[in-house]
Amino acid sequence: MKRIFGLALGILTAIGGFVDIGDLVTNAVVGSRFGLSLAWAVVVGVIGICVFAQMSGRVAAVSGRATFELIRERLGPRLAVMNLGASFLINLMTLTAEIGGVALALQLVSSVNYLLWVPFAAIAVWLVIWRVKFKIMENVAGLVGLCLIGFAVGLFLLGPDWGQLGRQVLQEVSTSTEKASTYWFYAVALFGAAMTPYEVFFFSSGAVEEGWTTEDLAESRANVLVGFPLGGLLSLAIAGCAAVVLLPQLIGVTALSQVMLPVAMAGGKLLLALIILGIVAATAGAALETTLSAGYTIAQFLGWPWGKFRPPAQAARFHLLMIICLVVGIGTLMTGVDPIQVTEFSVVFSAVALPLTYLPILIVANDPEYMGEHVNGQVLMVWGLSIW
Amino acid sequence: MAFWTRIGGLVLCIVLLAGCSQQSSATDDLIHALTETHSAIASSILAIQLYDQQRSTRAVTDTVLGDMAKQAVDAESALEPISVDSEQLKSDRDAALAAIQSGVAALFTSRDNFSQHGAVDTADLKSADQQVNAVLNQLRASR
Repeated sequence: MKRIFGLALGILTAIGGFVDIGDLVTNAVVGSRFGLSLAWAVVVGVIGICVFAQMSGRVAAVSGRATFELIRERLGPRLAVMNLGASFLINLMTLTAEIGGVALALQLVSSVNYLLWVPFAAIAVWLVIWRVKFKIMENVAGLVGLCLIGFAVGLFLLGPDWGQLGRQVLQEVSTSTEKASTYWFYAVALFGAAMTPYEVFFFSSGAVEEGWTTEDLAESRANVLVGFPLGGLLSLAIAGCAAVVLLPQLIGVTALSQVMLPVAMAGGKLLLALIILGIVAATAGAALETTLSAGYTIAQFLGWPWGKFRPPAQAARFHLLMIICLVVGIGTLMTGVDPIQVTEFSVVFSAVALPLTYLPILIVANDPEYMGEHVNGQVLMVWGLSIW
Repeated sequence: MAFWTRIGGLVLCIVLLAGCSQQSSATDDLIHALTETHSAIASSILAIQLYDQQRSTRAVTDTVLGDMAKQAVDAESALEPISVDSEQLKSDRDAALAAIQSGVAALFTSRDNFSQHGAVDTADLKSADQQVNAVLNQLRASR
């Protein structure tokens, strides 16, 4: 019974934790401009993140070590530093976008300008990382993030023409204002939004934090293979809501506040409150994960003590690094740069730098010296290579 | 001689093509700015209607109106760097600018009225949207 409860909790957390500011914004933008014609990019991205997340979880469970420790050892410091540089910069950009996302969501509740919320959001993230246990932090953010299921409820309440939505999935929506280059730009952005590198680093480091062994592999595989695709469906529901309400009125999403309009139309204030709570949880959860990932990547690469399972005094450089990253994120947002633009850049760079960020995981998971009997099979190797 | 004639012809073609593409690019920029303004106005009208129907909160409506006013200002600023090298383009640019400015004015008035009184008449916004759409359709037809 306890095992079933743990499995259900893990899957629910994976669903709630799948959507972050990148998924929210990119899916809403795409839905409002192209309908569901780019749903295929979400599907490809979800397959990609499933393949690589379960691979990195398996590496951590088998070796008891996290991704960057192994990457440096397997590839050598020179090659690994390229991977580290790309991953760290994208992660920092994503962290900035997530803090901005929390602040924007709080503005929707309070009318207070998001810039005033930015320092509070960042300090709250730091306090949670400092004080709250890993498991509690992960589960609370993931479970409250489930409020985003409200987007799927909203889509049903809007009563769309399902046949028309289905036709959008199968063919490119041609609007007089969109070019083919824009279509492909957003295809890449959607792929990048689903495959942000921090998810894999967090997943692998989290496996070490929670002390996974090979006995936990089935559970972790179920979390990924059930939780992430359901999270992908949430992403499609966000695009669907925008496609039903905003696309016909030629409203292109450029702000988080516009994402609320279809929700309010569908379910009124109650659904609106639920979704805003979900956005705060999803972006705060992702801010926690990206902040931790910033610490994980550098600390694991340089061999510093790391992890929330250690008291902060025993992993001082790991914690200092996270504080510095948060300060950089606050500083960037305080320049007045639009958090939505930061988000768009971060998802596009995630996709562009994909060969640098994901190849080392593939190499380690393909190496029988590290993985023993749990080395990638032929099918997984082909999947991984084709996505890479 | 024939060689230089060919080179001259090639250069002339490139200049003409570059000129045409610049004209086309400038028109695209105008269309983009107008589309952004229409989107901002339509979002604001929808936000106000949802608030009037008690389906949305004051904070959300306030935020939408603030964001959309900013978006329209950005669209207006995007017109500044467009260089005008023909009478037709100048006329198009002036019409687009006038429509966008009426949109910006309507958006700011709506935002201010809503934050002060919690209620807005959408007539000004709808009128500005009609003006924007008229210029937008005209430019799309001419493209």
